[in-house]
Amino acid sequence: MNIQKISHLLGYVIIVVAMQCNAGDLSNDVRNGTHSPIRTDDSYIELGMGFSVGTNPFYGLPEGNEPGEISAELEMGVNLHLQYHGWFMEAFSESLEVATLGYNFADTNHWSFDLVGLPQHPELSGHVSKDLEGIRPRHIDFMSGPRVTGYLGNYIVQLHALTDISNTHNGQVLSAKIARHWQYKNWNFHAIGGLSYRSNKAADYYLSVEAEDATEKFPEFYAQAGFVQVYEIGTTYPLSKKWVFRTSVQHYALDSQWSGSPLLVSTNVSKLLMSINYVF
Amino acid sequence: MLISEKNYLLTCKDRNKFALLFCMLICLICLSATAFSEETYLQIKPANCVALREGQICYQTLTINWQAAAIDNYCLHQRGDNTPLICWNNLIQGSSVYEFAGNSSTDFILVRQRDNQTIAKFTLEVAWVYDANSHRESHWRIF
Repeated sequence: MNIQKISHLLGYVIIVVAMQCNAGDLSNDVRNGTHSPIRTDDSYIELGMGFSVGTNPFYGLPEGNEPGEISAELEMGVNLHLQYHGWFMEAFSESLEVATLGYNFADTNHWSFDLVGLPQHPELSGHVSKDLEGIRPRHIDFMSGPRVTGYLGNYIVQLHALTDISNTHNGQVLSAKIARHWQYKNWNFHAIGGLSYRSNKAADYYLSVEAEDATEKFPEFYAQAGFVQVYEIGTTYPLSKKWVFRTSVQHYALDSQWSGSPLLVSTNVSKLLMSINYVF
Repeated sequence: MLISEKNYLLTCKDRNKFALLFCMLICLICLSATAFSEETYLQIKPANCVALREGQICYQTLTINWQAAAIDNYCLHQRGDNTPLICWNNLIQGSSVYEFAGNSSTDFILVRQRDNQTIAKFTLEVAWVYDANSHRESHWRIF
């Protein structure tokens, strides 16, 4: 999580610092061995120091990114979930999602129904990377829609149906994820598998280069709707009542038809994450 | 006057003797108490076990050391459970390793077998990082 993300998160924290807590992020819930959508009302905030090493799919992110280029980062992570009368905000630095704002409509013993809003795609412009100077800027989006989470024993399933409400690309993202956790001694292992669909408008906005914008560096390319597969395995270990160690490996496989996009350097990317977190 | 001074001196001497004896008696009591507390103990390391979530089984390899006042047969129990975990025969002290698995704090007791007398106790604290979910009725809300 970079400084910009952290500053946004801290802004959200200031707004809702006195609020009560609830959680629903699949990546975080499966790490913590959660079995039910109903949470305690205590605030939930963690601060951590993490290390990540891996590849990135987008050209110029980070600067100089090339196929197979491995970048490493030492970063400070913030994990939190805050809730007030159904309204909630959650952000987990190692999650497959970034910060999510939402409203919880209903909880049963096994299912949680929320309306959520979250960004799904990064900004691609000369503003964020010199490598991208000269291209038409692609802005960060903000998508909203229902989220359904099911807690079925050691399994958690989560469905998103999101529409862009930021008027960035007006596309849709549909996703389904399934996660499972296991305990061996005091180690908590987890695995996540997911598939998400990007509509024509979303894929076109971020991955197409139209004829009038095409250059030698960014040749013409038209992206169609496609799928992204995501896989994650990891483990969480309680070092003490206040300190938790986490590590995971994430792999994204983007639709192979997008491999010709000049805005992608690879359609298969992986990342190893490790962190130590203090639980307040 | 001389006699009374002598008596006074003797009285002071007696008082000093009495004070000395009293001090020795106190010291003996203290020493015997210390000796007793050092003689009999049950020590378990580490003293706690931390799980990730409340309700999960917590696993911990425990090193157990004990000492009793006299050679005898002793057994280690979890309080409330008559089945011994480990027993030692004809020993005054012992040690062992035990694989603990439990989801709540547990009292371990050292029991002398011949009279079923508990001679030492140790509480292993089971803690966790995240509280378990609190269970409420299913609910729906519209703002």
